[in-house]
Amino acid sequence: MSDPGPLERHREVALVEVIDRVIDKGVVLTGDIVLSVADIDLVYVGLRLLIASEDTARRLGATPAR
Amino acid sequence: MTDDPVDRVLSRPDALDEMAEEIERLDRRLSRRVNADPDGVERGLAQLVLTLVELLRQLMERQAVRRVEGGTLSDEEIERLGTTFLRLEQRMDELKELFDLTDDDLNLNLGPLGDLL
Amino acid sequence: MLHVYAVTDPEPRPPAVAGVDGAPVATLAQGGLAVAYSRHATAPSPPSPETALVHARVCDDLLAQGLAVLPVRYGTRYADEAALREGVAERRQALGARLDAVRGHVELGLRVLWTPHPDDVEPDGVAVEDGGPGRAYLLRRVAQEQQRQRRREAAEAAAAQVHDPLAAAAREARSEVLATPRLLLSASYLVPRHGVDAFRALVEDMAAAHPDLDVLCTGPWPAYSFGDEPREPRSPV
Repeated sequence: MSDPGPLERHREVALVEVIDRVIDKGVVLTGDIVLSVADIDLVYVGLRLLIASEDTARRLGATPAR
Repeated sequence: MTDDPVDRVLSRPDALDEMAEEIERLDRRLSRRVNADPDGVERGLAQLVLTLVELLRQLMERQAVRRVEGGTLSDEEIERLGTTFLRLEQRMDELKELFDLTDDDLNLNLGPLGDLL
Repeated sequence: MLHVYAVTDPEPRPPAVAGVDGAPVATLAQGGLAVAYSRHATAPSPPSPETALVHARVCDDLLAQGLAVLPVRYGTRYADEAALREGVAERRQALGARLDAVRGHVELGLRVLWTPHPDDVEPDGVAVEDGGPGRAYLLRRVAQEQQRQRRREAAEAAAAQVHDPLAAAAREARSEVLATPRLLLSASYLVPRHGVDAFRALVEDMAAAHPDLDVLCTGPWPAYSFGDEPREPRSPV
């Protein structure tokens, strides 16, 4: 496997940043969010939202999010 | 934006490879979507169920830890609670092996609570 | 079925770039806002590196037109224009407020790697004088959680040193500490379009002041991370 040069690596990193922004950030409108082949992913999103909510976090003794 | 999205690295870390690794790790934990495997639905179900069990287990353990720290438990209660958790951990290890799932597979990023595992 | 790219000021020219699966990007105006979207006969492709890039390029095109742009998350879909109008109308006020906040600004991203202090001794070797295996297990967990808490406190302090001055220089900021054990800080800063170079210089200064940290700065991006109101002065990314 050939070593990617620094420019290639920059592009890879930038691509991951793009993917992160497009797929995990951005406004959520009230349409149907289609995530992937399995609806299972919706549960993960819900779980994270549930657990990471400030209220829950505080009750579990965590420092609230910045 | 004159640059193509993939040309937007402004300042470079020294350890570009490590940086890339960490961001990719984060990406995998937040979003299992990009690498979704249509044939892996059953494995995906097992992963979901075990993640939920792991979540509950970890939360219960953390609550127990706080009770131990708070000094509200007798030695006998500590031993009993601990034994239950010990058995739960062993059972989880068996299930993980059965479904060929690693800790990383079951890990969730919980924001202010850090990572699950 | 419609795939949605972004909410913007009214009303953009249709982007020069093609949308997902090569579909042309159209826009409609609704309640003082505009939306960019594409029509698809069958379900549009699921998220992938390729489709993410396409989506990003559409958002870039819109931003280059000089409008306020709020990228919409990939995978936001509507049955038809009527449903889309309704969806936008519902959120009109909140979206309008966010557009006002980001107009004339771009997002700069920051990732900071650290090496956690090596006093993190693996607490497996907790000496237990008496008591059974259950007690030993629980005491080990107590030590682990205490270590986890110490590490988090150290991270919050270290991250604040980096983040606070940068956040003060930006219009808004979002941040997360320890998204992974090595990723001390992940942050996004909302910066005026023409203030990118100045902000970059601040980042370089900060990186120079902290040789123990490794810093990645990316951008400028449309305001992906600023679609929600800030919770506190600093909020999770």
